Amino acid sequence: MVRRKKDSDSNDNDKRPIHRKQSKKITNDDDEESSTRTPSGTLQVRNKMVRQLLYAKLKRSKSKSKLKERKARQQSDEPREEPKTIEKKRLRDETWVDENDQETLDDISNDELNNYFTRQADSTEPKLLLTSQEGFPTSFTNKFLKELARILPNTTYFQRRHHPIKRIIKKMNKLGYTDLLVVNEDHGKPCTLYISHLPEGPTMKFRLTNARLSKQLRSNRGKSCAKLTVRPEIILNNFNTRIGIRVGRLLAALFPHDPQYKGRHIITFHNQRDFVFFRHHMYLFKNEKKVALQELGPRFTLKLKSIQHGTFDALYGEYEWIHKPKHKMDTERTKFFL
Amino acid sequence: MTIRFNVLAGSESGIVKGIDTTNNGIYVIHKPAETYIDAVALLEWSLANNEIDYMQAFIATKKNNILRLKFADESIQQIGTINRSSPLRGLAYLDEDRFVTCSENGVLSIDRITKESLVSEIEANAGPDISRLRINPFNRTFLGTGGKENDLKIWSIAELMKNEKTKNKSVIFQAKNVRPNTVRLRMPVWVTDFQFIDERNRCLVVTGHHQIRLYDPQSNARRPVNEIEFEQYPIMSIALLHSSNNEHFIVGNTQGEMAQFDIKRLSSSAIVHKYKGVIGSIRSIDTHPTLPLIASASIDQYVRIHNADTYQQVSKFYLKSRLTSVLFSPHSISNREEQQEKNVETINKEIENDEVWSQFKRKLTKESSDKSSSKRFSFVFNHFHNLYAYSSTFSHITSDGNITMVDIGHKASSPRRAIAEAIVKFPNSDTYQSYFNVTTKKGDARLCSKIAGILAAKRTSDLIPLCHQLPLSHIDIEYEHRHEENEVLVRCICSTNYQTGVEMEAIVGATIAAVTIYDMCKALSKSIEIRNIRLIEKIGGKSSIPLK
Repeated sequence: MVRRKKDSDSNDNDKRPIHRKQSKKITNDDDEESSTRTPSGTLQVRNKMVRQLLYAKLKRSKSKSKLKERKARQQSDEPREEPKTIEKKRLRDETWVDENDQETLDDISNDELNNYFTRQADSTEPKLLLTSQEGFPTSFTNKFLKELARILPNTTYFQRRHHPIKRIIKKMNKLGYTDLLVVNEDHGKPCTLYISHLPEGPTMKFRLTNARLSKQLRSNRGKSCAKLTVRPEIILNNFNTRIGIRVGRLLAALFPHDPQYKGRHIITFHNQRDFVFFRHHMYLFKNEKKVALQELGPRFTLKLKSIQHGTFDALYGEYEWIHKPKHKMDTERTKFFL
Repeated sequence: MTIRFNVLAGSESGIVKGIDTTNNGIYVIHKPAETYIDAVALLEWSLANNEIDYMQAFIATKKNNILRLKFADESIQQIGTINRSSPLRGLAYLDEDRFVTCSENGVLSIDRITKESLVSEIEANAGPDISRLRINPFNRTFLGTGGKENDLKIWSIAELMKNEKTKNKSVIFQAKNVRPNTVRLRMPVWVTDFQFIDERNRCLVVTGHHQIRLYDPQSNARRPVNEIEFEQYPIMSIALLHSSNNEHFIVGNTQGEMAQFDIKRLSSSAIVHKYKGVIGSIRSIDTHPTLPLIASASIDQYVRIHNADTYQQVSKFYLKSRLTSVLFSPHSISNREEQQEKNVETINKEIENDEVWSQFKRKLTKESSDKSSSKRFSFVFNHFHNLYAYSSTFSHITSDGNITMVDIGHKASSPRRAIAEAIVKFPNSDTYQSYFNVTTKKGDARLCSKIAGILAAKRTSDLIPLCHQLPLSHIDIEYEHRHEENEVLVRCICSTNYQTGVEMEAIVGATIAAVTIYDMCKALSKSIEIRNIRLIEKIGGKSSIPLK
């Protein structure tokens, strides 16, 4: 009240009409000027309704002018600029794998998973063991684990109870398993995935987020997950750096060779900005020309946390790579590790 | 041919690479015919005239092949293969073409280089699961071994070489495991690496259970003199920081955490700095012989150079294979860009303004970005042995700088005597005469000071903080008058039959007797001086000083 009085006392002219005029002028005349000024910042219209009205007008005019510009650009013959996405601006560091670099290729091909990829006689088909963290998983994690066991070929689900992982690995080595998957949970949701390749390693730790069951997927129309009986096709996208290829090779080695394309199942590991998306699809051949994809589920997202040399040994194992936020690894937005 | 590189790194592929830290160049020095068959296990310097020869290095592979690398022409020469069932964990070059090696299964041997192969001269058993053998760089007649469930042993090479009989005596120090913990469980032993820190064989040991331990073979303790912990993961490597006069050391663990510690302040606050930037397990660390530079080789395939003064990462080099070992040589390498720039400037002096500006800018940015690189590398070949400082021991000061009273409980009593003296100088003959003839205001100064001196000597342990109480058997104060110089020499003689010496009692007695003379005579003159308080004789106990 006092303030309003003061205003009216000090100013001889009525202030509000002038403001309105000014704002109108600006919105009508000059697009550039209006774009630089915010209505609330410089004009200070005190009536909220008027202010909102003005702001809406300003926005409309802006979008109109933008549309005009865009149309003009489309009609002109100038070559189209490439959209600037973070992926396009990505910084390629020295670990980016060059296909001509024999030394790096040697390093990649001489890793612990070499037996699987060269299909040596002593390498057996992947045989996985899936288990949870110590104790008993909550219902959602339990369901998720069981779906995962259905999707991944040749997988056994093992009730962890209170067995230590190192002892499980010892037993698995005797029984000829090739990989151990451990899903940890937090607040009733799966949060971490360990993949340990046997018998020599490596062990990778991923953060697991956005886990969805098949039933929860809209495209699946509430159907529950059926056991995958065919060998699926595997797609690994955008694994480019040395660490990326190491992760890609570990993920690929979870699945058997020689996919049965007739089964139409695809499993994708899509890496985008260091997030690895797991998806399970099925081709739908609608007619001879049209093909559609149906997502079957489950789905989840992985983010690499660490790579450890050897089989699972969190305390005494040697780490090849750890994501260390405190060591200023994430300073650039356009820098990625995978 | 000039030397192209100053850091040498060995990898699991078997390739040895040289790094030029000045111009950020990487060169392949040695590449086996087939990679990934045999990994490089160790890199060690050679020896010339009992000092480290930075022109030659030895490469030991996992299959126990030993190669010699000459820096001058970058040539590789095969020396021979050591026949062992397990890989070598340590290699040290002795004089006269001999190596001392230790394999993982504990075969410690001295091998001689013959024309084509290596011949084992002496073999000894160092126990199972050896993880490292290192020679004492300050006194190359001693070496140490250690491993899993195989605590630190220090060996004398001379004893080892003598004959079969003395071989058992060649272990001059065998560490003892620390005491069981509070629930009486035995503490596991896992020595991963160690470093000798002086010529008296003091040794810093890092373990797989994240401890850093200091052993002192000179003391009677076989258990570690000092122990601290670093993080929660196995410590893989340790190196002394030569630029800090070997008073600091660097450790690295399996998580890629690298930290600098101070030997003199080994306590929980000993950590000087935790370095940033390493993201894989550190297999090996080496420091520059003179400059504050640290090279770390880790299995994330990078060699990183850190500056120990600014604590910043200077540069990193991607070597395309998991690394196992690194060596830092003192060779200085001229800055190639600067040279080129100089040449360019001399050839065409007329450069357009823009170019001058761009060059100027480039120079500015370069200088600001890597402060340490170009100019600090330009130094002359330096023998860092001269820099090793002899650190004498104080009986009242522990290795971490705290004070302590010496425990003399285990010592045997022995007759001891000490004599100390002090000189009281009178300014002129008048004052001296009045003192001598007892014409002072207060009375007989000599008698009074004698009693004061005896009383003071009896109460020495009350005055000196870490001095022991002891039963004095005799105290005497003597006077020697020097009439020409107008001075009195006060001499205090103390004797006892006890476990510790009486030199402090003698010094205190002499001092207080002299001070009492001053007090008695201060009415005559204020400028009487007390001079030359000193110990002149000490007899009995560990060390004796005869009468001067």
